[in-house]
Amino acid sequence: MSDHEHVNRVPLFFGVFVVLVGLTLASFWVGNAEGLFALPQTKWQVMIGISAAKAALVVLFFMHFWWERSWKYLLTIPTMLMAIVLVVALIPDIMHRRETYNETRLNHAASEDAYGAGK
Amino acid sequence: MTSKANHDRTSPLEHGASHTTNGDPTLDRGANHDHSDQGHGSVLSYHPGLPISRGKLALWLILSTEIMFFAALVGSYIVLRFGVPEGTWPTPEVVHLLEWVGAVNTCVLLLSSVTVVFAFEAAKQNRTQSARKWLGLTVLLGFGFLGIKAWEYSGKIAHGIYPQRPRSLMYERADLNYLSAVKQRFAELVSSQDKATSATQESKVARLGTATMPAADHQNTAMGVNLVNFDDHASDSDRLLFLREATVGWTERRVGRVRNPFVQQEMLDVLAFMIYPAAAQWSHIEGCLKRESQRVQQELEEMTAQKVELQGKISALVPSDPTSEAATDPAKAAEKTVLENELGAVDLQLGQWKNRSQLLSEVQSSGSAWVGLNDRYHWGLPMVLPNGNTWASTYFLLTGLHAIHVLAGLIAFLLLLTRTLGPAAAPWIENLALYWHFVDIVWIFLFPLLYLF
Repeated sequence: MSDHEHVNRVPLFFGVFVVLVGLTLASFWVGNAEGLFALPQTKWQVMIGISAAKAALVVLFFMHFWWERSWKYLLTIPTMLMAIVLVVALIPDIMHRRETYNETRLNHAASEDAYGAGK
Repeated sequence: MTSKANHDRTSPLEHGASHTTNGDPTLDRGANHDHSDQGHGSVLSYHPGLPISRGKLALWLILSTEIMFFAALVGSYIVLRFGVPEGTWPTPEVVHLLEWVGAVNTCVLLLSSVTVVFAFEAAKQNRTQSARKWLGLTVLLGFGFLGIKAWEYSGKIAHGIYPQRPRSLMYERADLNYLSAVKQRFAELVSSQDKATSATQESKVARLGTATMPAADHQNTAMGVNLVNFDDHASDSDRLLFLREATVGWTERRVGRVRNPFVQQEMLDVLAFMIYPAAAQWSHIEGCLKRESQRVQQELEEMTAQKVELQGKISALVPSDPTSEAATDPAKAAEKTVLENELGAVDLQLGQWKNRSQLLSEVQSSGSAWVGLNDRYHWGLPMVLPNGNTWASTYFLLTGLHAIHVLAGLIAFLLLLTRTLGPAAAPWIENLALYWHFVDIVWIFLFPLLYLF
């Protein structure tokens, strides 16, 4: 922050905000557009991509990463790796969850017995 | 001992073992206190590991843990969301989620991120009033976000879409388990109405000193009720009894009698549709209603014929001359009683079928625009909403934890507003703004995941 003490960044920040609002509307439009993509998966990927772009804009400009020195990598890269590894590690759960569906689970989902309480 | 401008521009590494403090004024004060008398040659100088203030480093460490915290939450949500069978996750309409409200809230939070940045810029340039104004606006926007969120929550809660113990109102499928839950809820409604009625009667009695009126017999009232339009021309009590009889009472009896499991399932599906239509497929329900009303019409015709036949038999037994021998014949009188009892039973059944037929035609004429009993009367009846419980749990957990973060940021901002927002307060604003932006980023991901996926 100290390197640009007297640079007026207000127009830049306002421009970033306008882009962010535009991306929010784009995300809303993609989410509601019928027949834009053949697969819903494509739609989801586009929306997550838009979110990632918005997050990048916030981090780069509002959180001043654009102007920070290299310490930023030391703090964020390991964290991001852990976060990404965590989410990736959950992927097998998505694939296997359907295999364990059964009648009882469907019938008694969220009932007292399902988690063994009240017995 | 230190000229701040100089040190700000030099890396600590260039100074070697000599002292270094950063732009943070609070840090400067601490460092000065330690070795202001010893000057540059001090051995005990403080040497930060990273070229940023301690406050900012601490804040970034918090954010690192927060990134992992929300990554775990979002990751678990993705597992639950995409682990359900294809196409069974509740759509926004089913759970009364308004996508545009989510988009507006995203913009509110984005705007608050800009205003806090402006507050920081103003504080750095010692424009304290301007900084106060922008920070105040940030706080207002933050509370605006929470207000919209609270309004959304109240809508969900009004519709019974929230986790509760021992059992939420949401059921995975229309089965006998569901049927008995609906029956139980109707019984609760009727008994609470009874209590209310008897309470008013008692107070009336106490006021007027008159004898109490006999309580209405529900079985008889329900069977006898024949409402032209249950929505407009009925008292609350009559409507409740009529609908209890024509929905769950009817379904329970028919499901017990019909042997075909497909027909049983169709009746249960229709019951679920009448209570909460949002989660049902209209094309399927339309067919069910059509088939059922055909059956009901056929049955009504048969029963009317039976009634006419019985009436004929009874009138044949009544002799033209009451003084004749036939009139006093005890065997004929007994036969007449049996026939009259039979006629009573047929009448009762005919009333039930007529009620059902009336409700069916009401539902059929509304079609897919049918407003469910829950949304009409707020009776809190159990509803069939596949994956509704998982949806509610994840939605409230994710948005609730995010809202708590927003609230924490707002409290910190309010505390900061009690200070003079000049250059001395700028690092505070900067650090809190970093946290605020992070909370914004979390919402940036939550918005499409919860509202648009």
